Amino acid sequence: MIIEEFLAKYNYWVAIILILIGLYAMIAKDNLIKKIIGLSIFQTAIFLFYISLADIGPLPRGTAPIVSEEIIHMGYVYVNPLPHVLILTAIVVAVATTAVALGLVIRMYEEYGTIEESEIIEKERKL
Amino acid sequence: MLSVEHFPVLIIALSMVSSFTILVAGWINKKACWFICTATIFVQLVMAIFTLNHVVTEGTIHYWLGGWMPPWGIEYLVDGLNAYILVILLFLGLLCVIHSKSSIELEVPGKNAAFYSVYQLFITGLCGVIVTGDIFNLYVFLEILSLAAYALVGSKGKLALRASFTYLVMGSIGACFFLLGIGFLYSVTGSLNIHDLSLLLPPLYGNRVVQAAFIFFIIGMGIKMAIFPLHTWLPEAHPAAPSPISAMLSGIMIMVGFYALIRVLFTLFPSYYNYGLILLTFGLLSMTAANFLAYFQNDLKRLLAYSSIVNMGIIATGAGVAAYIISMTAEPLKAPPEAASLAMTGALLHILSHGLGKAMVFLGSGNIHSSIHTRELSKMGGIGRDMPFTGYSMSVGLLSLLGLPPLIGFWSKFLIIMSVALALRDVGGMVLTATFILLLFNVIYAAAYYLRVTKVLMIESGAVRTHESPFPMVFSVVVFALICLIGGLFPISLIRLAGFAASAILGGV
Repeated sequence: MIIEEFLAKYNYWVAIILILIGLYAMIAKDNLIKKIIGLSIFQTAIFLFYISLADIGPLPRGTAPIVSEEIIHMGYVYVNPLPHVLILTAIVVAVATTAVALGLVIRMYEEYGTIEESEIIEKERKL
Repeated sequence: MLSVEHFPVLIIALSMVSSFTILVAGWINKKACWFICTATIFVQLVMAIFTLNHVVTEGTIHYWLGGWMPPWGIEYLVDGLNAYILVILLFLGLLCVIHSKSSIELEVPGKNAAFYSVYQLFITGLCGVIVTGDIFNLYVFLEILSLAAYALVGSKGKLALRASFTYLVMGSIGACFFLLGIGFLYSVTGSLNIHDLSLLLPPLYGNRVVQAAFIFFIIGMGIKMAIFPLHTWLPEAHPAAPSPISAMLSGIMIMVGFYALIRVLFTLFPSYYNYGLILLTFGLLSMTAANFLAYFQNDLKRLLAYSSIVNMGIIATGAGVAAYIISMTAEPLKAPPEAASLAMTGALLHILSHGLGKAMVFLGSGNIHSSIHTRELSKMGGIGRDMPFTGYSMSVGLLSLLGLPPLIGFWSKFLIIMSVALALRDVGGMVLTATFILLLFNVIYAAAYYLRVTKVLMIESGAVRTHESPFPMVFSVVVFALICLIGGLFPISLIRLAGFAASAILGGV
């Protein structure tokens, strides 16, 4: 019983594990690009959590929420489209954040010649 | 003539359009950027004052975007609290952009169009967070504001880049925790409108999902408002930014994090979740820890950054005391007890007085930096004598932050301490006694470094001989000083306005 419930909701478990991996990468890694990758993993895991919320249930399983004139009378069951739309917005925000972060890393590389954070701190102390 | 009902949306739409206009105009004529930016913020300020007037006289504004009714559509809900903070925000924004006319050429040369365009986006994000009544819209505007802030903090180059990167990583974690909280609430209720959630959530308070959302909101917004254990990005990001941006960051951006937190906590969660106690504890921790750290700083802007954490702690303590009193004397459907309203009024008035004082001192430090190119206190001795306007205005600002009587900073701290004293008489208990003692201790201890900075500026000697800053920089600083003085001498209307805003947020409890 419990194992079945555990396996039925595996999306959420994977999302939590990815959140933790992303947080670990942001905190513990020294390389700036690895920190940005950690941020991206963290945000993608949150999107996975949201999309998992959109699922209708074990039976009947929903299909993609796209409706057209020909099939609207066939009575399909659709998944909830609202979290998909919210995540589209959040993906745009995540892309913009990654772009700003990469721009900062490029400037830092031009300035200091390295992208390891501990070496940058050493060079700042000498400035 | 447009109806005032449309003004909340116009403020944001105008700001967005203006941001792109500035970018295009910057290719044609560099000098036009500042004019477009200042004119836009001035028009927004006038619209915000009309909105505040409408809210005070006729009641809250409900604006449904595109005519779609909530909970399907996005609603902009402007009540007393929103309009109050909107006016403070745009006023600070206007004076900072006036100051930037001269200081940007010295601090961020050659990047006019980009700077003003991103600054206008920053103002868009700030206004958007304040005005919206839909919780996902709040997240989107919070991210717009944060991205603009990351770019603006990093605009000076060199040391500012790593500070901005740290701020980016921590700020994104905070906003993503907020997004997780929104996801949890959406999964149990199916609605994203704040007012609608406040009606749908009460039967679900025992649910573990709602409790998890509560924790995520506190930690997410705690990172944004730099409460004690989560404050580490602030002492690096605020000194590294150009002076008008430091002023805006310290003056209003951390307050917007606080606004988002209390809007979510006071409207959506019940008082037995003990968020009053949590806010109180972390507020007191922030105050005490940052006070001790601030005293030993030699860099003026870093000292002011720690002082921002202290004042954020004072505001959080005020709100926490209000929530704690309400949870202790729980009588639903009645007006909140007098001490709670007084504490919330004090916290909201402190947003105003801290914003004015801190923005002014950051702008003044920008003046000093532009004259003698240093931020260290040991090299600034007696510079207030060579730069009289900056020196005297900064002294007024520092004394206002300290809480000296005829200035406006006195009234906000006085209201918070009086409310704790009233609560001690009515409710009593260990928590409030400890709060009272720690508040008094911190307010007195903060005098040590504020007076030290004033002494260095006005009384000591040893700085290089120099001249006063250009007119726009002096103008902003002097206007702030005059408002601190006038607001302190005639505080009654400001206190009444803050009380009106407090009743808007507490009345629904």
